[in-house]
Amino acid sequence: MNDYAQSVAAAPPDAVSVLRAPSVKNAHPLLRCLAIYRTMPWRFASAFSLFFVVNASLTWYQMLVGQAVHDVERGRAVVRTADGSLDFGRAYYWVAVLVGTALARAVVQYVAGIVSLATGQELLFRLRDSILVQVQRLDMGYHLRHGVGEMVARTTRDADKVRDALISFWRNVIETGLVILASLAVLCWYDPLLAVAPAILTAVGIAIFLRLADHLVVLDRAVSDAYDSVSQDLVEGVGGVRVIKAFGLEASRIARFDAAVGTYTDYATKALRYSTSRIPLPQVVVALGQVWVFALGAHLVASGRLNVGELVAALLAMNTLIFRIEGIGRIIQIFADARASAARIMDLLDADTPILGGSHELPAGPLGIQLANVRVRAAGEGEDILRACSLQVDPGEIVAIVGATGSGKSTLAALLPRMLDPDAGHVFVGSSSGGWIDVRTLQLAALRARVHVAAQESFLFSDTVARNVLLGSPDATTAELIEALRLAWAQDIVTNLPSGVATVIGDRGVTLSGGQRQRLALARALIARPSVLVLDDSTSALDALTEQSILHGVRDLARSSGTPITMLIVASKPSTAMFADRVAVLQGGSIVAEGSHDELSRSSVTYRELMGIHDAAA
Amino acid sequence: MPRLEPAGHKKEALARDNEPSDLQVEQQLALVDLERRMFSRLVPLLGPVRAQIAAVVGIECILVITVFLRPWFVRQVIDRGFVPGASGRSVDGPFVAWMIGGLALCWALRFALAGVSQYVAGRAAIVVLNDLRRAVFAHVQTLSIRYFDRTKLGRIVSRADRDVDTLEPLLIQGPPELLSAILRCGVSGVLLFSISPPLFWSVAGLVPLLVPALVLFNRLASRNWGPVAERRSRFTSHLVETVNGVKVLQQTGREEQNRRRYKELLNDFTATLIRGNVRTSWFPPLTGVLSTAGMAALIVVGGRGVALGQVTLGQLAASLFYVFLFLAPLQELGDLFERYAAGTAVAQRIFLLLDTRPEIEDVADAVDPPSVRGSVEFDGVTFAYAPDRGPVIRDFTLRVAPGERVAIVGPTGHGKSTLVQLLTRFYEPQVGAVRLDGVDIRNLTQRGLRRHVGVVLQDNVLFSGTILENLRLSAPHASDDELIEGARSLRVDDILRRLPNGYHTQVGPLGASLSHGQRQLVCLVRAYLSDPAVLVLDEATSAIDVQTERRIQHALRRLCAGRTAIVIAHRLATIRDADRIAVMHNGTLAELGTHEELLARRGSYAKIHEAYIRGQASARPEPTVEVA
Repeated sequence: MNDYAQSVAAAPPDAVSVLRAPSVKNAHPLLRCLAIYRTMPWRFASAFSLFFVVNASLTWYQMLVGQAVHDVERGRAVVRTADGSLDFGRAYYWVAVLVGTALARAVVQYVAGIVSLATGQELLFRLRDSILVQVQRLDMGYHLRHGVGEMVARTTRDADKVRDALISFWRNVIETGLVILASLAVLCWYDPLLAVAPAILTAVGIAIFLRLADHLVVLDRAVSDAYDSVSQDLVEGVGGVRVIKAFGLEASRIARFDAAVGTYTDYATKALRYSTSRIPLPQVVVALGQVWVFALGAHLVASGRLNVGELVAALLAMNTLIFRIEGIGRIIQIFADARASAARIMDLLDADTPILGGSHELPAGPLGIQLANVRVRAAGEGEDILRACSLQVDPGEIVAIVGATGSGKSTLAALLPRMLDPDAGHVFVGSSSGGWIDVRTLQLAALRARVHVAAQESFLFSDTVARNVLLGSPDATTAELIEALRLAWAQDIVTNLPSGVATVIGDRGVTLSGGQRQRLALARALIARPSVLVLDDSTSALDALTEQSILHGVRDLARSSGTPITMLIVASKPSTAMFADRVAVLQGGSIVAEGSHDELSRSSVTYRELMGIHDAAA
Repeated sequence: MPRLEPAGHKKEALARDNEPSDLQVEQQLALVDLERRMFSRLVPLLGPVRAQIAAVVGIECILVITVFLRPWFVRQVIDRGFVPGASGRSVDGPFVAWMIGGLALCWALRFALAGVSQYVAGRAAIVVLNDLRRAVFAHVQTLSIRYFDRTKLGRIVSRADRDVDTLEPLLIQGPPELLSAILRCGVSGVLLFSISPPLFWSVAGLVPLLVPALVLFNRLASRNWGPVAERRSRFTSHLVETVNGVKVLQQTGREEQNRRRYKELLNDFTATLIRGNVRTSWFPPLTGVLSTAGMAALIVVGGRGVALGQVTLGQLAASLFYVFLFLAPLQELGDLFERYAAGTAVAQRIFLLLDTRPEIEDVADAVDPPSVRGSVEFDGVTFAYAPDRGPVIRDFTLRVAPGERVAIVGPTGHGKSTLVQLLTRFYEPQVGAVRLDGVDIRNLTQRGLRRHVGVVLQDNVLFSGTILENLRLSAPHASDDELIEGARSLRVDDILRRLPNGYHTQVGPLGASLSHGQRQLVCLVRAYLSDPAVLVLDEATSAIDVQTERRIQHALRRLCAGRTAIVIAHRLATIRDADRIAVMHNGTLAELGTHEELLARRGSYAKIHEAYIRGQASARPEPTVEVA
């Protein structure tokens, strides 16, 4: 039995527990992402130390160059000896020292690059894993409120933006910080006065960058909003291609796309103009630091407090600093931009699901279901979806639910395996003889294994037919697989596929029609051998013949094998309603009438209207 | 995508890697090889922005000058700024002030010009890339349906989306940066040479070491790019599928397996990425070592020059900067090459798409008949979607007279919908012909054919915009009133008016904001407005509440009146309305006749009908396979 849901609910992955720690919870969302490094202190420390060594050695190296030049300046590097020949001793010493330092530094730099990459990827791995776990953990209510589009955008686009920021963390934040510190340290070493102005100017420059960043992000947001409509036209242009061709709309779609691209380029140009005209200012401010070093340095050289070699080394250190800062505008922008994305991901990771499993086990044998005064509120303002809704289905009974579009039939179905919990009232499984058990007290995985909802949209994964069907029961034998396919009238689909059940379906493989997908989804539900099978319009794309065959097949199997299957069928065709032992009419959020098809046809106006049998009643 | 194999099935995991990658599938469809010279194809894209590129090149040249001015100022101050005096040296104030001012101006100019250059180059990028984006989209619109059926939507979209953006560093920033690198390298070489030829040679001696390293690096880097991108798209599509299929995963309790698979994909991605970096990231440290070697050579050679009095101290200091300026561009080349590798890989994919010819093209003398009577004929048609898959239509013959209404019935998956694809020429049959008014539709223009053959498809796709805008798609010149009149004729006017903003309601992407039934109604009106001689209707099977259903039935009847109609029927009412009924089985025509005739034959139609009519326990039908 799979107790994953419980295990994750009880103990979220360590990354998430860090993100939820009180000290982290209220921090800047990007810092919260970075807090995941707490779960791998050693890796973080080793990467940081390596970076520190690399940058410290760069400083060391620059100072060595300064000393070497100073030796040249003093005429000590190469000395003309008395006999007129040249002594290269000191010069060779410097060659050995400089090259040796550089080699050692290169090795550390290489290792640091790999280690920091691996560490950064490990952080992303944990973040991505946490996101997936959270997606799988959150209940249908959350998914419905946020919609597939938004969930996909959050888990991919937002996650990519955060990735961009986190990836640049090592190279751009840690290393830039170290370079600035190291460069200022060199200046300080030569003369503290040299470092004063560069330190202030660098701080001022960064402050200006930060101020610009917010406006840049606003402009960028406008650009990406404009791009969204480009994207949408693009997706529609590909997804709606049959209609486009059928109506000869190619030219008008192209014109529309061109217009959307035009709007996007206008916004992009505007953002570009702003950034290219403003960003040079802080860059120049930081660069003035070198002018200060140059001016003060010349003065110090003249007064003998600094030698020429040291001046050159100081200027080189400033060069390094200026070029490091040059790209910082872009980095600050990436970070500012990722802030909102990180906040959205944190919202997702912070979300809690009210649906946690209980500890009780399900009784063996057939199960019935019971709704008692159930209320489900609508996501927004609107009226309740279900209100004081009560229904009982005894073990082995077949009940059809009928109701107008939007009357809450699917919501009702989702309550049974606890894809959704009611806002008020209770959902029970069990039987009148053996007692009713509140589903909230049951182990979640066990409940879902016994109560199976086959939904109308019949989602299949891009995987083989066999693996899609076996989702319902991974340990099933081939014989059971074939039996399930037969029951769902899906053998002919498989026979016509190039590699039978091993054929990959979906995006990457063969495409199936809606009816074919529904039959495979039914096979997936049937192979699980549930005690309660809920068909939520899950035969809607099948012709009446096939639908009836499947329904009868399932019922007959249940009867002949002596393990009754309780069925709740969301029905819209009279034939389906007739198949059921009993029909329940859902209207205004509750069951307003119950009875057999014949009874309801006589007694219920609502039912007659829903089934389109005005004439028959007359 | 969750692969759910028991743990430890490594063989299977390996076998999966041998599945054709998405790129290979696209390559098959393009029928041309990916490997081709990219350069000759990329350059013409820059045509429209010649002037901007020239401007950027000009600015880069000025920038290079400012780069060389900076060490020159340093050298001047060291050599001439200090006046030896009694108490050591003193500063030549005015001269040094000039030099300091010069340096400040130099930096200001440097960053201001860089801003201008970025603007001009960025603007050029926007122009070029979006022209390319438009071209890709326009080309996609010409491709045949098979391309869309075989290629993931996401991959086609990303060609005009992310892929185009990836070209920016290659096309726009690449050339000026390359030029700047060459200029800096060249000028500093010349300056070093002018200070002292031995200084130059000592540094230039490093180039023979750097170049092969660069070539090797480039080769390794370009090899990494594809596998990493492929693995990234694998784990991303797994995630997207998880979001889409989360209900199924929760229902079946397969979360843990799914997570395990995701972690495998992530680990595979990370491992590939790191492996690639282990192979390539030796390059930056190596260049660091080489520039140090240059520096060391300078100390030796320069020290000798100073000792011999051939080189001044200022010259030596300046040449230290020149060594950086000489070697740094060579390092940047590595980055440029890496971008070139990434860019060309993407450019290949874009050109692959642009090179993909539509499978179905109008023949040279294709006709566009102004009007047709509407007789349709399938003559001995056999069709398979792919050679390795069995035919879905086998020797199918059916003649439909002008104005006749034929219902096609039969079990799901027996080729009914494929007939629509053939009649609209989304696909072409391998054997036999489809004729309109006796003319093989392959001899008609596609546009002409589709103007006379209207279709209402199962998926009922609408485009984002209002309902009126969607209706106008099929009648571009109609006034609002004429469009609404169309809806009124089908008696669906009141339903559409009841939507939140009536006819001005936004339907959402691909019509997602409307219900199935509403979407279907709009599609029927849309088809009605285009007024085709032949109507092909793949009746939606999805359940709709009975009221809407009745409106649809009525609209359908009105829509079919006065034209040839071929209806893939799922509803008894639709079937009964037809003049003749064709029963399909396994891609063949099993029965054909009027409702009464077929009932009298007591064949497969009679059984289907019986199931429809009674739809209850006593009418348990035979398995489909035995129906024929």
